Amino acid sequence: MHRMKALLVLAMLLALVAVPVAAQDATEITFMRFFGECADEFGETTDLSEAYGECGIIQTLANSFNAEQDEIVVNTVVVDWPGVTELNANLAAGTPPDIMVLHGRRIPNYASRGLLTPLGDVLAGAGIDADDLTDSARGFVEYNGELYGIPLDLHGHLWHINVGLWEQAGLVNEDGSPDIPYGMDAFLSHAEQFKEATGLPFAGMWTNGLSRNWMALVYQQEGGTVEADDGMPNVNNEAGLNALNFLIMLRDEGHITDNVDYPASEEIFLNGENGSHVNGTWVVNFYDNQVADPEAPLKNYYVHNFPTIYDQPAAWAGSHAWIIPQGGDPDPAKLEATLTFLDYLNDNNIEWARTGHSAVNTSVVESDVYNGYPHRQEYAEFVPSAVIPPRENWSTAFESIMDEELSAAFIGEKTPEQALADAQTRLEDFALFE
Amino acid sequence: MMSFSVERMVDSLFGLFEVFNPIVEPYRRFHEKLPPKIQQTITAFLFILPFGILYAIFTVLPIFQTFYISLHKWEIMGTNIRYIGLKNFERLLTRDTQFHQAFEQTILFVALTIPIIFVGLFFALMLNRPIKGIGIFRTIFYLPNIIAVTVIGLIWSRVFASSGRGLINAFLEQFNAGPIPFLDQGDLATLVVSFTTLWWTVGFSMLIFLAGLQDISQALYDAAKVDGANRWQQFRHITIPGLRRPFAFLCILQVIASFQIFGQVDVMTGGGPAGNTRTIVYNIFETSFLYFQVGYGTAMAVIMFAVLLAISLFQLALFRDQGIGS
Repeated sequence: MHRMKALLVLAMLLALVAVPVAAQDATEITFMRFFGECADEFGETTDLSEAYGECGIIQTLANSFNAEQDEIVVNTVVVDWPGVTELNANLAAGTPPDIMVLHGRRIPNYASRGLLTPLGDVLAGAGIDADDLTDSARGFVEYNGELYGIPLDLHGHLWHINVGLWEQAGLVNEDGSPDIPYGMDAFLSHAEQFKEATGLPFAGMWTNGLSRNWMALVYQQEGGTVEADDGMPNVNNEAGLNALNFLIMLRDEGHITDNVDYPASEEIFLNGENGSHVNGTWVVNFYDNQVADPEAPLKNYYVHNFPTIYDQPAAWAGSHAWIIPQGGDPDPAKLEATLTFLDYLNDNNIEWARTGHSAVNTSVVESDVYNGYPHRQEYAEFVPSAVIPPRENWSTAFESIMDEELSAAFIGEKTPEQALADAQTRLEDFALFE
Repeated sequence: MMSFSVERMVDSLFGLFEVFNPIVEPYRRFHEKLPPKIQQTITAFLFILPFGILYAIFTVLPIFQTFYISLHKWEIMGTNIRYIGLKNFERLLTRDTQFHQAFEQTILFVALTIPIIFVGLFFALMLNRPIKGIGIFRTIFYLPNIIAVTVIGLIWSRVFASSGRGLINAFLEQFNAGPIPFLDQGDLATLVVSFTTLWWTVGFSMLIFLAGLQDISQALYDAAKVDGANRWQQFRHITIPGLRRPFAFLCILQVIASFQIFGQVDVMTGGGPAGNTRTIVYNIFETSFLYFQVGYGTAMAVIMFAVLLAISLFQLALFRDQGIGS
């Protein structure tokens, strides 16, 4: 009996001791990200040239980092987009990840609460040249003059075009490129001509989330804005009403597909059921691959900057950024390991840009390889026209509240005036509560 | 060579408890001197104690904590915590139109999902027959109830997807009809979420009614037949009165469950379109986890707790008057 007891106790002690002993050779860091789960396809891939799409490339970057050295182990934790629920819960529990991807517009909200590690003083030691960041990308990760993240990309909405259908409608130039309309009259004229020739809607977008397209249309108007001079929300204005009425008119005239969510809007475009599709930089690589697939209906693909309807180009833009949350028990060894991984990610920014996103380092943006990526030159004006959401705490709630109120007007439950007034009230309430 | 057996391992594990002997033995001697009734009472409490401790930590304490947090400005990450008295409740009851809309929506869901009880009764009556292989049918009808709400939500999202991606709309497309925007129009989305809830939970009502039906003595039906009662009269005067207890039980549970609807909404509609399917619990989740305002979110939870308590007490009083709850 005593021998058995001794064996049991020994087994328990071994179980407790064995795992830490095995792990203590390398520093382990937790890498929390969205972009989907693709371990089945890319779980073992370490060759970056074999990876494609957001998930494939980011998964392979983590794999290759782990394969190239044995001092740091990156443990990937995949969370649902946009990851804030998981981040908040982990911050509350005092167990934040060592490094995480966060949308740049959310940085003020966390930085103002002291929840992010300021990176200004530690980057140089890690070999990261913050001066190489483009101004537009840097704007997303700065708060009160301090860097709180390293941008991964600048992304935003583009205009994806089915050139085959445009050709059928007589909307192509002599060189076969699409004849891009500028201004509202030209856009509507194209839309009419397209509908008459093909019987299909000219454009598509997911109509249950209109805030990004609406915001771009607001900023295309002279003086259009969603932020007042005092930093408070300002969405109930003339430019906002014009933009919303324009979107509703497009639907009423049958120029855009109606009642569709994100996956459906994408499927409609890829099946050739409309002439164009407003979607992000993140799908350029994926759509380009579709053309290479002989089975896919999309045969001739072109991508242009977000349509210019009013006085000046403007497109909604965002940024994915790497952040190092603060909380729990700061461990200098882990911070050092995290910065090493961050440096690796930053060094490979050009790989991430293959997705279609814009790179964030000037040295990459000016490189021939980057500029030679498929379709890159077709939307070269995206970065200069990018509109960054206001750097205020209420930006966190901006998209969800605006999506909901614009949708209420779009499906006829509220008048456009009422929807914008309600959005203003809700955003003000949120901003004041902060 | 040493041989291993389960019995010996269990004995060894129990042997580890011998370390408590210095405490247990003196107590045992003290216990044996007590009157038998007190001995029984103490023993009963000792058996309940482990559960009681866990229940206090994980249920009772959080309830009090909820009341405490609701009186504060309290962010989910533990930042900016400040006592603000009843200001959360003032904002909630006087200005928060989103909460008012979510409250109305929840009441609508409760009203739409109450019929689950009657559908459950119908299925129970159908399945309470001496047919060969009836157990298989009972299992099939109960099966959805054991599937996770996430899976249920995803399945029905694909069935009711608004474009040709949806099963129903793909079928309609074959006849050049549709598509019907099931999840993109407010009223339709509400109905779809209610239907999904019905499909998911009707098995539970069925099971409770089935147990109730099997509890009714066959002698009552035999006597009724002898007295010339037809099937409807047997149902009206024997089955329905016999099911009053399960009915009362299900009414209370169904109302509470419907008030707490969350998973289906989160997976299928995200509260949309245009906030049309946002329920109180979904609103609490958004406010607390996405907008950080956990103090404000718990104030909503307190209001919901008060409403549910009032409804449950009313239902209990009602059933007690009818001699069910006693």
